[in-house]
Amino acid sequence: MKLSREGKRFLIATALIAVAALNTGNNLIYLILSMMLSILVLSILILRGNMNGLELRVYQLQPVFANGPANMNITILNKKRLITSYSIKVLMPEGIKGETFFPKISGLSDKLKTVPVVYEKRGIFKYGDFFIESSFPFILFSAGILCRVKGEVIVYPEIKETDEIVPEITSGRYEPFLPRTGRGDEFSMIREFRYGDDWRRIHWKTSAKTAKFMVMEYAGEEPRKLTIIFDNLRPHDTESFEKAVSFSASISDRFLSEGFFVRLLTCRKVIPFGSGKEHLFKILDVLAVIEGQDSWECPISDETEGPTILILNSDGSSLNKFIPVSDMVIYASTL
Amino acid sequence: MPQLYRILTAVLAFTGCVSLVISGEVNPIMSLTGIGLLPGYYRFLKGMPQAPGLAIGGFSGLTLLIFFFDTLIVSNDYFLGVAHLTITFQAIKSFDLKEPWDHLQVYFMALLQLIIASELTQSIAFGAVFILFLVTLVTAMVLAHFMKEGTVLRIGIRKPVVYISLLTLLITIALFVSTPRISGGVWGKSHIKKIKSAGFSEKVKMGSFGELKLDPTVVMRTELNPMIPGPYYWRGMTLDYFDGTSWNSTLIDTRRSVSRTDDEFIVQPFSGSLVIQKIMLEPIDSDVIFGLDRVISIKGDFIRLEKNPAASLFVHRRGARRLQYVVRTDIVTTTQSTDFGLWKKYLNIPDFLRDKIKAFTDKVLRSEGTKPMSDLRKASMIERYLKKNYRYSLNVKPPDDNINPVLYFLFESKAGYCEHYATAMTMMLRSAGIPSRVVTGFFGGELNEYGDYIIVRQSDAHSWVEAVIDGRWKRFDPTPSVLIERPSALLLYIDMLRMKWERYVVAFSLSDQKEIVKTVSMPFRLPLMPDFRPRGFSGVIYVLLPLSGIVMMLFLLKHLRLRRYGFVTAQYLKLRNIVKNKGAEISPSSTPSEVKQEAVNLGMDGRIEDFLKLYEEHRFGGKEMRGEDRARYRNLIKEIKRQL
Repeated sequence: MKLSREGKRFLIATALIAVAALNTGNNLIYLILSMMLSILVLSILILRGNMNGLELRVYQLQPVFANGPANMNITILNKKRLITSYSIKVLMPEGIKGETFFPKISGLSDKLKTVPVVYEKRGIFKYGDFFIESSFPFILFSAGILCRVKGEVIVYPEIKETDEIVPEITSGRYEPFLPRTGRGDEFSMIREFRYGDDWRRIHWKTSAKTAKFMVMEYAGEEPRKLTIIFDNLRPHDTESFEKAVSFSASISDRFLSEGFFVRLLTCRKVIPFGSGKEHLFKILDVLAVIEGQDSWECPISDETEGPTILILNSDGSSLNKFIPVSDMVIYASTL
Repeated sequence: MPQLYRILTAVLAFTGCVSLVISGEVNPIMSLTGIGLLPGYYRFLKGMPQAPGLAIGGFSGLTLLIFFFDTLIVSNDYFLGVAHLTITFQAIKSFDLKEPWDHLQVYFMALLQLIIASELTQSIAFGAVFILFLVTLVTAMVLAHFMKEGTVLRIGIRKPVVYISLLTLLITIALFVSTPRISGGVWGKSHIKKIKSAGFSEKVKMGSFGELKLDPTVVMRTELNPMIPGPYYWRGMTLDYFDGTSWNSTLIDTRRSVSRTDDEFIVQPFSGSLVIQKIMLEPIDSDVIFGLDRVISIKGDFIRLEKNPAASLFVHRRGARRLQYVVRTDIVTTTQSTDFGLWKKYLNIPDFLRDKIKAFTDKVLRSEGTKPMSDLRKASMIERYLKKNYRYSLNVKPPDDNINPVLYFLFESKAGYCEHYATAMTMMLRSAGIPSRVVTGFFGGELNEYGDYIIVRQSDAHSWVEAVIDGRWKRFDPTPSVLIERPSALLLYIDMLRMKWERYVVAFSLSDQKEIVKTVSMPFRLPLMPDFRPRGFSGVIYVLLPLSGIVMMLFLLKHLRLRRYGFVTAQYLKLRNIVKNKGAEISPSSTPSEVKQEAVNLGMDGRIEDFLKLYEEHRFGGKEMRGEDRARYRNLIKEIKRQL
């Protein structure tokens, strides 16, 4: 329980009145002193009563991107039978920006609020300590209770507009990323539907026979592929590293939305070519928790396929060896 | 800002000023500035802009100058000067209300005014103002809270305000009743005015009772048990020496302390049925206290009671306070005279009156024959003669300077009030050789059926005669009875409220607290509370002792809590507290490395690491900390404390 600025002044005034009462023995000053003390006592008692019997429930709506807007459902349950709780402020744990305020929660009821929040960092975020605070009924004291909320949420790297960062990627002038023309009408095969496929290409007859969605594939539909090599070798500058992670996520999002098959190569972790939203989240899952590694242990061949974007930590990185096979090299420090 | 909040601020400002005005003690001229509250709050409620800062500053400076002038010259009283100052500042502030802090200033100023008023008045009007202030303050504070949170327009505040106001009132009453009553009286003087009661001093000038008889101020309220029928003679002062124009008490040096048993003063021994009077005596400018007839004992919240040979009772160092005491009285018409040595005093007549009075007395006594008669018959005849042949009047012109007031009453005006009658009779009795004296006090009073008590006013002030008849003092009252207009039922009802206010609030005392404890503890047969009456410096000591005890206990508890853990952990907990007190976020679950990180963030150097290394080695490594390590460990925390 904390004393506010007003509370401190009120307390000093009460102490002075107590001295006056003791000095004079005047019952009317004792009466005023009793009023002051009763306000102080009630401040504490009502505040305690106001905070008792509250239960906090938190549900984070997915997906969550670092420094991006996200919505969190916060429910406060007042388990008290008769006493209404007023002015309940919910403060987020460290790492989440945002707070919410419940003006009134009647007894034996709950209130739900969808709160806009911002997660400051990517990674696996353990909810931890939420803080419920109130200064009801007066402005003299405030009290808070810690609410340990179990559970975790994966926070993806921040997705940014890449146009401003590397304009040549999306300007339509950079040859490797230009759309290819092919013989799009030449039937090649019927295969199983994959996430990201055009629904119009579903071959309904075969689908009916196999009881699975089957799509027609044409020879000219050779997938446009992009390989992103992300240098997460140590040592690295933390700030640049985070920018590089965010950039990788951003270009993955960008090219996947344009229909590219994107592959991500990092130390120890590889996401093979794939397309569509599902694939984007596979990549984001890796990037959300990516950390620096001491050696390059890429489990698949270093051979590149399609255009390659190499994102390097620094000039001296040992992944310099990929520069010759890369179509574009981006240094984290320039991001 | 909601209009309600503005209104509450205005109400609090007005309440503070009104509390001072109803005391009747503030100087009307110096309080005229309070009128400024009206335009100030009118502008404020209408949302008009604040007055320019220069004007506010200028007026404030001028007010301070006027305050010095007021304190030194006009009121000649620092306390009243502050009262006037607060009224003016409230008026100035009403033109300059912007920030929430400005409103709080108004509240604190109103509170100060209420405190000043409580020293200036004890009337029931203060009680009404106090309740209004309490409810308004609570409402304003709840509203201020909702305003701070920005939810004032979204919440229905009526319910919380009503509940919280009621709770505040209840807890206020509980605290008021239970707070130990101690009167330090270390500094300052009381500003409560005493009621002027010229008739009860050691010297009473003839004619002074006339003013009292016109004053309806309540002096005393009394509950009688059993309720005996009147007439009630509330005996006070006795006067034995008459110099022709004034009565004097020459017994001032003969006062002796009355012995005390437990909390009761025993005036004289007695066993039998007595009439009990619970008396609340307003602050009068005399230390005499009143009771019916022959007072046997007195119980009251005073340190010393004194008695003179004429059985008048006095409270030692009474001060300007309302006295509440219980008198046990033996209702008798005569009391044994034990002051034979003083009889000579009671026969004294000024020389220049002696012959005329003697001749007149003889004439009166001869009117029923020349046979020798008893003292009782003589006294009764004189009493009857004065009652029958003289007219009661409060509108008696004072005699010319060369005419004695007693002679003027007896031979010229033949009209007067109790003082004239009692003086004349005493002089006549003395001239007839009967020792006699004048007694001043109160006669009668109005029975208030609403509260079953008797109201005694200044207008009931009375003087009568006591004469020694057959070795016993006997009361005679030569004043003819007068029809008294009875107050209306409404006035009696209001007086009952006043009586309750004064009995249970203004005069609530340590004795009442003891009574409550006694009543509550009765079923449990708890030992009685010790009888102590803390006053002055002893009162301060009684407060300081428990306070210092509590502080010491808290200190010990804090240290004992640390001791529970042993040296290593206790020092580590101390470190956590040091870092936490510097603003670091340390929770019960914080690990040593988190504590270290927080300390480093606060600018701590490698010493914290050394300290925690030692802690972990000895806390978890199974090693006992001794000698050099122990000293280093202790020094490290001292250095950390200094550095942070």
